[in-house]
Amino acid sequence: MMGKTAVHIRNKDAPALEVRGLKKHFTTVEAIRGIDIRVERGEIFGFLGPNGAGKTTTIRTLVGLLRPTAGEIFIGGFSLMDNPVEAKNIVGFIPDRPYIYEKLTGREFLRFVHGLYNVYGDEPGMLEERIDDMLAFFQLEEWGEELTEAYSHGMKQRLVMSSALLHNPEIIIVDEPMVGLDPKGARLLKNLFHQRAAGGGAIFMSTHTLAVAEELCDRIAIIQDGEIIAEGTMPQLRARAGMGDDEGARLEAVFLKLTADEEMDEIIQALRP
Amino acid sequence: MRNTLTNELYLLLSPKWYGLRNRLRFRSRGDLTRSIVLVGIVAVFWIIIYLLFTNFLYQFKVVEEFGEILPGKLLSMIFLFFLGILMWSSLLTSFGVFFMSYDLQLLKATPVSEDAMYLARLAETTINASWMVLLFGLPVFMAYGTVFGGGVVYYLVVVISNVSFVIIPAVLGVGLTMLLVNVFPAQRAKDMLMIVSLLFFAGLILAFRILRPERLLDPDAFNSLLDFFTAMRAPLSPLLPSQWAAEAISTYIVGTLVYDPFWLGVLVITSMAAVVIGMWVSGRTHDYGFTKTQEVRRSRFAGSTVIDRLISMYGFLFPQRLKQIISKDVKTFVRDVTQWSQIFLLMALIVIYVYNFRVLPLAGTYIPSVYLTNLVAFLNLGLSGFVVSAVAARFVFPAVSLEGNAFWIVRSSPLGLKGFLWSKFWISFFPLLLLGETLIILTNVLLGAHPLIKWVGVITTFFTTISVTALGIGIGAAFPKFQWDNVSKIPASFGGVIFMVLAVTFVTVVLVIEWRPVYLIMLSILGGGSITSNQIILSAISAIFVLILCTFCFFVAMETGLRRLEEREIW
Repeated sequence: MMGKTAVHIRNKDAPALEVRGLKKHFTTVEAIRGIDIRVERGEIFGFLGPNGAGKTTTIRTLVGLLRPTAGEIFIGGFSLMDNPVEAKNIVGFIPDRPYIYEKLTGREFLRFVHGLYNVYGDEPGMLEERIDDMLAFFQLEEWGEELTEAYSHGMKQRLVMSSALLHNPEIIIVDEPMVGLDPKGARLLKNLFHQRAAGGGAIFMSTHTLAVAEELCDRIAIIQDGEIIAEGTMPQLRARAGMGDDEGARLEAVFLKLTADEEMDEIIQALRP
Repeated sequence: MRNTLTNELYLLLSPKWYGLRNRLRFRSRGDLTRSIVLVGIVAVFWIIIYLLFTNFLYQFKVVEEFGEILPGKLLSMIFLFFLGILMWSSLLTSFGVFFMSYDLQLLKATPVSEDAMYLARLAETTINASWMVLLFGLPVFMAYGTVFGGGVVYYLVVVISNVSFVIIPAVLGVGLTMLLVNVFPAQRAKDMLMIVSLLFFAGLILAFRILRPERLLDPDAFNSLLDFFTAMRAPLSPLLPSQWAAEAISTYIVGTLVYDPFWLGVLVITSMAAVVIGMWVSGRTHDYGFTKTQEVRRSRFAGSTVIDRLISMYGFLFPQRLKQIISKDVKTFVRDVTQWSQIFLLMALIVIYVYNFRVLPLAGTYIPSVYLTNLVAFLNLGLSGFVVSAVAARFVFPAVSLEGNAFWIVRSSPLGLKGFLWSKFWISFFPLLLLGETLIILTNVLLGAHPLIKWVGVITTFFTTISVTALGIGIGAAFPKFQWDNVSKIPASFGGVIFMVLAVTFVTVVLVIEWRPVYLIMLSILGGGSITSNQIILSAISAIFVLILCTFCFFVAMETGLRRLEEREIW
């Protein structure tokens, strides 16, 4: 059933995600210094950066877990500040750490999360069928009736992914999507992302795995010290890094060049046996 | 150069010390104020305990024949009570410290010796299990020192005996935990222990109350004075460490010119021997038990659909999203043994509360019993309000915090925090109302209170319960503890203390507002007269004030909680 259903878009004229002038200050730290992002329908957008660059802060601000100091966030055309219910209704969020309710079974957890997002009033039969599909897709069908406290870290992560997809969101915001997935699961998730993008949905993902970003993403933004230092397709990023003639230049080299981490690269080379 | 065991012990305990130091060094805004408030509250309790005990002990001291016996008997009972509390506390604490603590995953993979690990964990268990007992026991010992002229040596004896005393139940508790975990997985063993100990504790409280211990204060209750003295002179048990600790201190207070350190010596040597034996037991059982702890436990009741069916039946009362939160909370409560097992204790306390009213000696005083009965019934309104507040502190105040690290799910969902708080309110209000109304109706029936007092009780309880629930949810949302693993500690947090103070103050103010009109009307009725128009007007004004106060508390609490929760950032 998954991937065959087109994503239901409520506001076709608006981009999936639009961020204008986003800033986030903590007491002594400027975590985000004014960034603009635009993710179109049908796009897989990668959000990369070194540790401490502001990726997780950005993601948590986009889903309403953190309040921005300044700036505007529009999800599917709905303002997150002025219309949070509508905006959050069309987002599926997958955090990097899968904290869930440990005294619920996998099925109960999925029903619970679906209930929080239930705008369209699914019939119970249809919901159970979709839950069955999700559990099967993420290889959790044998664990559906067990309490989640018995799940491994990877299983919890997969359950959280299921919950984010259950209400057929217009945009999926994901922090480190490949955590907890074996190679087969990673392949399935990549296919899923492609299918959703093809159906009109959008993916906004943050990852450290540059190979995944290079393989999946239509466009990539690189954030460093709270600012976006580069954004575009792979050819555009290569050009930005001054490697425009080298079509074989991988994202890792581009990333390191742009984030000026060549010294680190030399150190790593020196440490190799 | 220090030996290896000492170095390792120092190293293993250093994170606790650094954590404490860093908490003081990196204080967040408001921490200093909160600390000052907490210290102030503790100081008030200290002073009250100290004054109460000083008063008791002075009275005991001057009684003929009793003077030498009662202080020692009292000390024995106190230490026996401490021993029970410490045993239970050590047993439960050691599950977490020895088998479930997150840092064990790190430490067990290092070459740290088992002995050092045991000693460090034992120290942690002992401190966690005993700090409150020691803290609130200190004014008791200070009272003894004041009344019996204790100097520096007395306090040295107190310190040594208490430190040695608390080690023994800690070692016993840890040892028992080790043995249990070798048979059952740690979580299951802990759950079983929680249920058994709460059932036992509840039964003990009931048995203690039914024995009517207040009769001890009246020597006429005994057949002969000789029986009374015999009962008083008999030691509680010479085999218990509690008796050794009591003797160690009593000997100093009422003993000869030269202090006999025999009992102190027994206590110190036993505690040291206990540690050595405990270390030996741990070396042979901990590894196996820790491995068993990693086992997955399949739940027997996860498949039950009773709750879902009940929610569906009454689902029309709530919007869809609120139903989800309510359903989730009910399931979590029912499946968490540490939560639902508290019900046993609660039921025992309710039975005792009602029983107390049954045995109240209202006859035989200079106030006519009909007046006294209705006075007590009115004051009962306050008492039941305090009980409801105490139960709310335990179950309602932590309701928001129970979301734990999973709060991001609700926060990032379209539910909205207002809906979230309303769901918490509804799920807490009905049980609390049931409790309050049961207490007030049962006790008023037992007392034979006037119908007016009964109705005042029922209606006031309804409105005060609404406000107390809102206070619990609102303040719980304003001071959430999402990261705290140990739910039972949440009521004792700064926010929990604030809630109790506000709830008790609120109930008291309601009582004060209602007192005057109820008193005047009851005087008229019981005196055979009729109610005047002034009394009716006064009653109406009083009722309006109570309603305004309840409404004010409700909205301020919920709005404050909502606002503070909205401002909170979730990582």
